[in-house]
Amino acid sequence: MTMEQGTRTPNERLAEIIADALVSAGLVSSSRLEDLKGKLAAGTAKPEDWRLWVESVPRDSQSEAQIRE
Amino acid sequence: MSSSSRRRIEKITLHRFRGATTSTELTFDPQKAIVFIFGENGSGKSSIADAIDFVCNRSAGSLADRSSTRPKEHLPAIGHTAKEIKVELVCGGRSWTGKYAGAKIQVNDEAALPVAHVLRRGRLLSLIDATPSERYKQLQKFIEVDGVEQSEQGLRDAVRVAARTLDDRLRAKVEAESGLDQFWTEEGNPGAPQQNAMNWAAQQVAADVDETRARLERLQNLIGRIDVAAQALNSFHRAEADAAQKSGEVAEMQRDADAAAGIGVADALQLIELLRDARGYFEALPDRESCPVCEQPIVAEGLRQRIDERLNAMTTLGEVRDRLEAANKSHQNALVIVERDGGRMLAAGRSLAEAIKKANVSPLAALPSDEASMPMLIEEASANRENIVFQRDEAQKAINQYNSINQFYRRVIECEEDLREAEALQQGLERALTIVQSERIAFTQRVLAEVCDETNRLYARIHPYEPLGLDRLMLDENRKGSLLQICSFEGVSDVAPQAYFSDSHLDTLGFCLWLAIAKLSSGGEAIVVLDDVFTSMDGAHFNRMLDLLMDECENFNQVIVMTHDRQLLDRYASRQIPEDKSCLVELQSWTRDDGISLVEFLA
Repeated sequence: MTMEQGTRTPNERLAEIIADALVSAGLVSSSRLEDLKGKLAAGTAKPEDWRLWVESVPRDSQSEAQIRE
Repeated sequence: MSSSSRRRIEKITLHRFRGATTSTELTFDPQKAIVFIFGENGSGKSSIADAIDFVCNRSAGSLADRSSTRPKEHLPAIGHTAKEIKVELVCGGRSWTGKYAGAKIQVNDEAALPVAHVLRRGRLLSLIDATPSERYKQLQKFIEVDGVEQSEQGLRDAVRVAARTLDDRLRAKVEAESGLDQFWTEEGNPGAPQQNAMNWAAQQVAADVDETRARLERLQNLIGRIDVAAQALNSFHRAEADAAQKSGEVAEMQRDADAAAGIGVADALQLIELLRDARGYFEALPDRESCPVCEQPIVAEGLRQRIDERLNAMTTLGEVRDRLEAANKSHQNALVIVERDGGRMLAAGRSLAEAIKKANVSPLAALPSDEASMPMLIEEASANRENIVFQRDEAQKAINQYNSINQFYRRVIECEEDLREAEALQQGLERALTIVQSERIAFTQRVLAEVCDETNRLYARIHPYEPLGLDRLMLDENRKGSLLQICSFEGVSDVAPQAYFSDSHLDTLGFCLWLAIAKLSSGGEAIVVLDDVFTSMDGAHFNRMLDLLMDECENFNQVIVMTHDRQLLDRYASRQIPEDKSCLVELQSWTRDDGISLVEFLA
């Protein structure tokens, strides 16, 4: 039996799972992970948020590459 | 986790609370994971369970589930009031006190209260016999992901909008391509059949039009200069003509003047001057008797009259003289204008010559451009103006066509880019939705599977080798907030347990489900209180239940079991229950005067 629930709600746990899956799939940048998790769990992720997260991946990747250089 | 780090109830004191008509204090060994409280019916076991519920959950406990009871009125021990109630709990070295404040149960330091799950007999069957919606409520806090569901709906909306945008952009691309196709057709389908409209347009826009633009500018400039030079030449010619005319007028007036004087005009003009001077002399000296020139005697009055007569006769000549003077002046002005306009013409001509050279237009480029040849150059340029305008218009047309092709072509390229973006976005959002949806369903199913598996594991401990159990828990897809349970019996699945399970089996199934849920929610940090829940068990099952509790107590901070089953005392007496893990509290029979009292505390 998992004992990792602690004080986290199901929304928070599921939001973390989903957020990690979306980042792993390259659909959302890792830099937007916390924003995504928070809004997912709270139920406040609006259509425009989803659009921004998905649209921003190429731009964010470029910025991250520049920072690394 | 070691015993020393577990938050366990060490002491609970009931004052005027339910069966505790006096103050009742119970102490538990914090080193022991399980506390057994044995007492016959009505000894006050439930009062102790209710007291724990009162402090840890601010709940009325068993009275909350009973009709015809009012907690504030019936929680106080009989004959006492809510104001007198007090329950003190010491757990993990800290203490809490619960009492009534007005209509509410108040506990100090609520934020740090121990977590306690209390299970009563009446609740057991309700877990199994509950409606799907009631069953869902039991597990709601573990599986309800309404926040994620709302966010998922936001994502669905985004997918829908993205699909609409994709359609719009596809339409825009088709329209742009159609526009280019039409333009290409109007231009006569150049390049066909090897090329299509797009290939042709790409080739056209790649061409260098800078030279054409520069040529257009030079021709435009040349036309402007031609116009200015032509105007300057016209002004010059008009000035020349005007000067010539005025010269003629002067000559005519000279002739008129000669005719009027009979002598040379110059002489006549001099004579007029002389006569006027003489008249002035005689007016000043009216009594003069001799001529001031020849000194001959004169008659002054007669001489003055003769002067007047001669001057009158010469008036016309004076007027002619004045007109001749005016004509001369006008002629001189005309000559100045000729000079000025001539200069302007030459300047305009030089500017024109420069423009001709830059534009390199034949045959003008070959013409001389010295001063003497300037009028001819201007006239030739004017004569060729129409041809130059034609060349300019051709260049303009080429530029316009390029701009049109470029506009159509760029529009198609932009639409293609927009369409690609829209496709990428829509695909990304759809993939995201698939992930969100599948993870949500999997999450819920994992939790339910976890509960189901744990329930079955616990159940198998109590009913080994018995072919019955909980197959699965699942959300009703057709109804929100509804949880279905699928049980099996003797190899037959999807049975209603209430139809085939005995009461004891239903009780233990309910208990195992409850315990599985308690484990899920507590994360090892809860106190579990079981208030007489094993009443329907026979000896063998009761023993297996005790063994189960001895093992499962490691998963909680503390397990407190209230029971009237003497099998417990027998197992204690025969030392079948490990003493290092458990302790036993025995209650005496309850009386109103003594309230809840203890027989002994067995460590």
